[in-house]
Amino acid sequence: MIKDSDVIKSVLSGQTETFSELVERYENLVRMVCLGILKNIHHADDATQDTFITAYKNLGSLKNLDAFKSWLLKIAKNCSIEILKKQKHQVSLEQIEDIPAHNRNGQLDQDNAQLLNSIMKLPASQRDLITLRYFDGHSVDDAARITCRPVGSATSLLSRARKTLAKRLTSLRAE
Amino acid sequence: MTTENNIEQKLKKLSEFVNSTGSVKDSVMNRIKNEKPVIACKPRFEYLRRITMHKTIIKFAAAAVAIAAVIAGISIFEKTSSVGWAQVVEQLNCYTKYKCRQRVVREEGPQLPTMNIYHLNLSQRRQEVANGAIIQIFDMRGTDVIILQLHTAQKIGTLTKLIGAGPKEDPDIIDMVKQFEQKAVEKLGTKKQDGKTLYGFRHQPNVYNDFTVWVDEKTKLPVEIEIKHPKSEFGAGQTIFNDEFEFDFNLGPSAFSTDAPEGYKIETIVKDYRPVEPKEITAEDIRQGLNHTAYTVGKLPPIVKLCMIEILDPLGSREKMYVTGIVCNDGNIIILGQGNCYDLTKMVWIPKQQLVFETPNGIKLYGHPNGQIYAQRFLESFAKAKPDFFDIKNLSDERFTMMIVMQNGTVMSLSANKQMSDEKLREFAESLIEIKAN
Repeated sequence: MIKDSDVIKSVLSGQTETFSELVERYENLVRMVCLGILKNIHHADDATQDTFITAYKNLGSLKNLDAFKSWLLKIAKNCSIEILKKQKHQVSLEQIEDIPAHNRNGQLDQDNAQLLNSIMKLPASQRDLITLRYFDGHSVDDAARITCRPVGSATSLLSRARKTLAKRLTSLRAE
Repeated sequence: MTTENNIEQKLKKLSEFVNSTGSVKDSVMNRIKNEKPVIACKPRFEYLRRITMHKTIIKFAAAAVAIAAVIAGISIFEKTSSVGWAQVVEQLNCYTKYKCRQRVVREEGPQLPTMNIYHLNLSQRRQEVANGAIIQIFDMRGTDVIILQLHTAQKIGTLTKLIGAGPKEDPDIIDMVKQFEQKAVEKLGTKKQDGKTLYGFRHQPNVYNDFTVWVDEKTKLPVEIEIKHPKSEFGAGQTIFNDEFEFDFNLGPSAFSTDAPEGYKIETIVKDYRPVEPKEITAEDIRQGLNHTAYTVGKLPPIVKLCMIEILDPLGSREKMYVTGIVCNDGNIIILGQGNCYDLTKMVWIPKQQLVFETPNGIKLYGHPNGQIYAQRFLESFAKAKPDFFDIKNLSDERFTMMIVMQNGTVMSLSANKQMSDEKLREFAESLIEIKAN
């Protein structure tokens, strides 16, 4: 897989279309970060788009090209908070204690919210593999190759991640 | 219980939700087409240096201009800001009262309602929640703190009186912001909002607080203040947004009165916050002080000294605690804590902890999620009250706390300075005897 830094250099040399490689690579991870804050898939999509546009506009100022991913996720968080600020959402007192019910308006239900929060709390190596395997649709072999790991190591990390998530969700349900 | 197999299904379900709206790639790339191509930034002064440094005479002229600019306090290479932090503080110092809207966005857990807060001064404020459905008035000027809460639709309320808790001043956001030192404040540039030019400032006093203040160019007063609290050992992260500022609002003194308005049914709650000096007590004092079964430690071979004292809960609940301290023959110190705040119906977290063991007669011992910290607090309180009993310098890294739940549901805390074997823990638990009336 081409490194982020090489893709960025290509974009900065004028080949704007290569930026789509970065969008494809990190779209789901960015959307998950935004969804974790905004709790609504449509708002998360808006924030995801804003994130990549902001990243593109400021790509020239990124000093450490190898730190693109962490820089991008910071932008994602800031874009999500900006969208939150613009929303005139007021929580009624009755809603404070209620568990938000799933609705068809793109709202994240409690089960998915707990799982999403738990995924975002995993160590980065496990989180990346979970995202590649379950959200980006890669096979375990491909996920191992993308993260530069032996397949055995990737399989083991995925299993550990699933166990951690299972334990976390069981503990959350017990509370 | 969620298993690894269940997790696979849940991940698939979440993935379907995350992917339900399709890729944003095309939208992003279409928007990027309308943007200028990006290039890597050159060092700031590169162009000017290359243009000006090729001839000696121009080099000296450039230096003279730069020196003059520094003397004038203006950066010739940066946009000049017309709002300095000192001007903001100067304006804020003209006002003692202000109103703002406050929203707290939490990264986890239930969200809080938006509030309009009217600050009369640091000791008096009025909070209106959910468009006035709930009103809270705080008066902390006197020795007793008074809090009046009204539910306007139902015409009911509570008047809480905290005896001895005042006088008190709560630091509020404008008070905090006024204290930022100019040298510690970072300029963020400008933005346009609602036809106004706003100047941004940022201050991060520590890792727990990150302030961003946007100030109106004309009034030099804040329009937005945002405080970020990143996730830490104190809990999940959150951001507090303050906006809709009004300096010198139109509310009279009656809006801050803690007298119950006419037509309201008010419940009064009184809590004693006066300091409690630790004092040595007897088993009978413990029995009388508790509203549930009281216990003492029976005679165990390891006990060298035993002492009972009454203290304020070292964990901050302001409740009285009755602690029995025991010096063991192996040098360990054990503290048995009892209090009316120890109520299993409220402490629902206890049965979720690890069950260390259950004795044959049904006494249960559970772990504690913050056992070391709690043990330290209890040991410090005891050492302060009875320095001859325990020297805090001997505080051990092995210290721990466990929760004892008796057969009848009575809860007690067991803290110790050093680790105890299972056998010793069982011996201790089984030695507990009820304190009966004389």
